Amino acid sequence: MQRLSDLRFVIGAFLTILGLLLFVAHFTEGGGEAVQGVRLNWFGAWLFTLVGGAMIALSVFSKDPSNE
Amino acid sequence: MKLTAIDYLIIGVYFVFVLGIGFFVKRRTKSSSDFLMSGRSVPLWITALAFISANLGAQEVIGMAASGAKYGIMTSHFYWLGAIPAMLFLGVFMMPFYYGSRARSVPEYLVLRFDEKTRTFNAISFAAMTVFSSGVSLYALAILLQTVLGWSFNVSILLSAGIVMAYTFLGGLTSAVYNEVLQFFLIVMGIAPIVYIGLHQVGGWEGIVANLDAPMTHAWGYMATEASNPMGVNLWQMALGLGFVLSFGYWCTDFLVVQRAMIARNMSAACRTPVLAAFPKMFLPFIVIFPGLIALVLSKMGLGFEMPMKADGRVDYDLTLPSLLAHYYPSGILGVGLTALIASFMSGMAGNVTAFNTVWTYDIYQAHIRKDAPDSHYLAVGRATTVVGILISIATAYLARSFNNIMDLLQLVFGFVNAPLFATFMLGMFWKRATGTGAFWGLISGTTAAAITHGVTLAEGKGGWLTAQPVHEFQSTMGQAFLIAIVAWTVCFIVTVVFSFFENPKNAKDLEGLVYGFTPVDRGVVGPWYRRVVPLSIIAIVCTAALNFIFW
Repeated sequence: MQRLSDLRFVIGAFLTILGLLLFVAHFTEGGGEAVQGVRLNWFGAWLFTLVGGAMIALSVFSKDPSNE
Repeated sequence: MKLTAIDYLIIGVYFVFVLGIGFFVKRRTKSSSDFLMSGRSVPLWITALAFISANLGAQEVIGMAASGAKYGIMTSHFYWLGAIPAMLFLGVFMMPFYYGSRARSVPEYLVLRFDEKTRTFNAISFAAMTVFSSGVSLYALAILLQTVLGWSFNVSILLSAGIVMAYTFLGGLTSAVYNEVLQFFLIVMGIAPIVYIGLHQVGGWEGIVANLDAPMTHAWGYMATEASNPMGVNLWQMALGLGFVLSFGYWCTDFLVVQRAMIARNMSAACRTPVLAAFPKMFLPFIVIFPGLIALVLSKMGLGFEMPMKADGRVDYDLTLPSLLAHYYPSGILGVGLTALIASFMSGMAGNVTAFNTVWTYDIYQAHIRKDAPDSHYLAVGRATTVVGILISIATAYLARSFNNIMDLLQLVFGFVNAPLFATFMLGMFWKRATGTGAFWGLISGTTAAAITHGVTLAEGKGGWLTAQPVHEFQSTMGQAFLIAIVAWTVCFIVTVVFSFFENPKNAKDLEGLVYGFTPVDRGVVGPWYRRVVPLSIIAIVCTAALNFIFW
């Protein structure tokens, strides 16, 4: 429960949820037109999920919640 | 711009998290200190990111992209010249006195160093400035929502203000600061893909240089005269006006940003807050200014993007970034980009409202209206002030409608209020002879001089309200704002010095911990070099100099 109140966990969860929603957008809306060979929903999905996941991992594996 | 269900879902998730943080923090908000000063217990990484994010409002995100398209890479001076040096100065020289004095606000430092009338003047002018800035943020978001989603101006204002009010009312400063950190990640990550794709499409920095006039792609190279660059300022206006007076006036004395460092856990963290914040800050131009340059090049290259236009046929620079979002982003990440813009507005507005809360409650209400009430009373006043601050912001939002560039407007306001204040603080912290009467009349004179300078000069049709024939006409409102700041600072400095000689200074004992020279400077320095303020500042200044050189 204490981890859930860690700001890193909260921000990580937020970014991860956005990343997952972008995956949903990519698969349901066709990902949009590729610009310069990059499909932005796919790019954004990975960006948000990886950064969000990293922040959750930081919060879970650190000794103390960072904002306590 | 056409949004789909997934875009609205993303915006909805953001609102849920923002309000959730407010509800969560509310449980831990038991005293006025918790509500207005976060109990002075916020960790360093949060204060450092909040320090930047409090200044990453709609004015900066939308206004800097607008300035990037209008003025080119010279806009980076707002960071590499107009922010980093002042932030480092704050951390190294001023924070030991702010934090060491245990003042709860910048105006409270003034009452400790000078007297009550100086504090009250600063508190009132600061309070007016924060609600004004908050209103400008509100206006920017309302225009954005009106343009992008087709909502009415009035509905946009009421809805947006309502959400900010909810989470600042619930959790006070801690809620605002936690949300600022969340908003920081969202803004950077929501806009970064545009820069990545945009630079790729226009051929990188070389492509920008090849497609724009030389003054648009040089930060320093075309400042010999006002007429030689798009910003309409010359070298000395830039160096003195922005590089010294406005930047130091804002970053070192504006309670909105200084408050983020003052709520750190200890002296060391407080001093390191602005210094650590300087590192991400120096790279923000790539996120907020480059979109403006990219938009301009895209429109020149005929790649299917047109600069947004106003009804009268002029370019609407303030819509540069939203137009770029609509151009590049498909449904999904479009919701993220739009949420980032909404977040930037909320970050700026909440920052202003929470600073307004603290100053009103401690420096006006407690100092002049009810001195010895129980703490629960001041907590209630703090919450009530949140509501009042938002209502005043709504009213001031309508004033912002008559200005065509948001940054120009803010520079004008900062020139009136912050520029003279920096002279007061410089003399207060570094000259033991400065007195309360000198500081008070210096501030009055400096602010009056700012108003008079605006009244007798003209720029892009602004100012000149005191005379039929303006004394000088500037190329741009930016140049006018810089001169106003220089005049205000100089007048305040001279008047403070002169008046101080007509009054006996405070005793040395009363100045301990408030003025350089009476006590050893304590920066809470412990540990290796990367935890110390001075080495970190040296690295930051070298990096900033390198960036200036690269884009010379």
